[in-house]
Amino acid sequence: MDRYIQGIRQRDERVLIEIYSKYSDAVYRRIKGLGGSYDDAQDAFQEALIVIYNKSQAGEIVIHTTFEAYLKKVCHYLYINKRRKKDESTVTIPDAGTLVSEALPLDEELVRQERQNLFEEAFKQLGEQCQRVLGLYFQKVSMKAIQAQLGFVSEEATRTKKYRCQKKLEELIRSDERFGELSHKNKK
Amino acid sequence: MSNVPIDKEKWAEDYIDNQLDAVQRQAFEEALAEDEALRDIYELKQEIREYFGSEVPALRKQLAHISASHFAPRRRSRRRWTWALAVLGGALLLGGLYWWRRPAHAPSGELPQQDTTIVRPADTLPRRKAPVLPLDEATPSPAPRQEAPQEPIAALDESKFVPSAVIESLMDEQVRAAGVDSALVITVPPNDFTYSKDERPVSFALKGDTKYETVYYEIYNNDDQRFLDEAPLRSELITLDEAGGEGRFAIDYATEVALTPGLYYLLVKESAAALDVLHLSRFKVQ
Repeated sequence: MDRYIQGIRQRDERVLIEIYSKYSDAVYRRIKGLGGSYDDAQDAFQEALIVIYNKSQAGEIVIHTTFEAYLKKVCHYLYINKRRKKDESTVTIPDAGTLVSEALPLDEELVRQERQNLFEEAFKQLGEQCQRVLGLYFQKVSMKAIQAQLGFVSEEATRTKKYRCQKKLEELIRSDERFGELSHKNKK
Repeated sequence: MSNVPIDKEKWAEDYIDNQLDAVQRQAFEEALAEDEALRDIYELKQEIREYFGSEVPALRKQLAHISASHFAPRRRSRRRWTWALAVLGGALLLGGLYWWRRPAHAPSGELPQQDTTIVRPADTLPRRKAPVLPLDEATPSPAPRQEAPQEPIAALDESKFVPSAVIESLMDEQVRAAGVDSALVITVPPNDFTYSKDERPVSFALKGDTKYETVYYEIYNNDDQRFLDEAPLRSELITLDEAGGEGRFAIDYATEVALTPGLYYLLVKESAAALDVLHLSRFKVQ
């Protein structure tokens, strides 16, 4: 496996910094060449690394070219998709597979990514205590430990709090206008 | 069905949290197979749990942190630099012109040899055009031909043959080879073709069929900034004819463009907004 893919998969800080130092400039030029801004390039770069992480975790990544070429293709794809969405066009790129090749198209991965973005945004809208309760819960910390750590009066009260927080989180996610479209695509 | 709890949210959550006994779990699983609404609730909960339980949120934070300090430096001043270079270039040009003119007005005892070895008369230089844009050249012009011959000037200007870093970065991928729509074939010029002096104005042809009703072709020189500004030397919208197949449009287009010596890039795109590059190739004009 490519050293960089391995590094991304392991969230190796040194490798991640090396990837940024080596390739972010080229990606910036590419995105700028497509009419994108500095922030667009930065977003695309970060999202691309997450895509690569997800795909490598799922064992779906096969690269027949250089890592740089692959990374640039993913960034290119992500940016074009974002731009098309901005233009209120369709989310998917029918022929993206040809454009970006390799283990792409990324339509499925992109939907997953967008749903994850939605989850993140909704989570940030929760109150601080809800974020802490759910943060621990999602890390599979027991109710008893959460109760002790956050000072709830009982395990049951902790469970109720967690239930309410999660319900709120799901409401925020479902009420976002992107959710319907993404759910539809997710089921295709 | 009387055992089915009304609060499906709670039911799904209790199932996920292992709060149901064996009988209740079985009832839930049976309901899950039949009840689409319950399935939606359950699947979203699972997806959220899997996501926040994974390392991806931590990776996002890590990348945001690294990005803040290691992403490519901003280049806000690039245009200012371009202007500064243009001003500097202008100043050098004026200085050069002054230097060329100086012997004619200099005292007779000063630099006598230079006065006699100048090949080109000093008074023709101010009339020399600035580098002519190919687009301007595309329109036949009755411009006086008695000016300095082009070949020696072009031969001196090696900078016009230096590959564009930005466009080349697109070339190394499949965009050039196949593009989004591989049925589109650029018959002339093939990639890396060199037009000789006798082949000017250069001609090129697009043949094949695409799924697009219209395409743009654009010609860029090796100027990175021009490409980034999406300011091609030449751009034209081509409307295609309906082909026999479903949703296919045929293209059979040829044209000629007068270009000065240099390195050029030919792009064919789905739209002016440069979303789908169908073709990208480079060629030289000698």
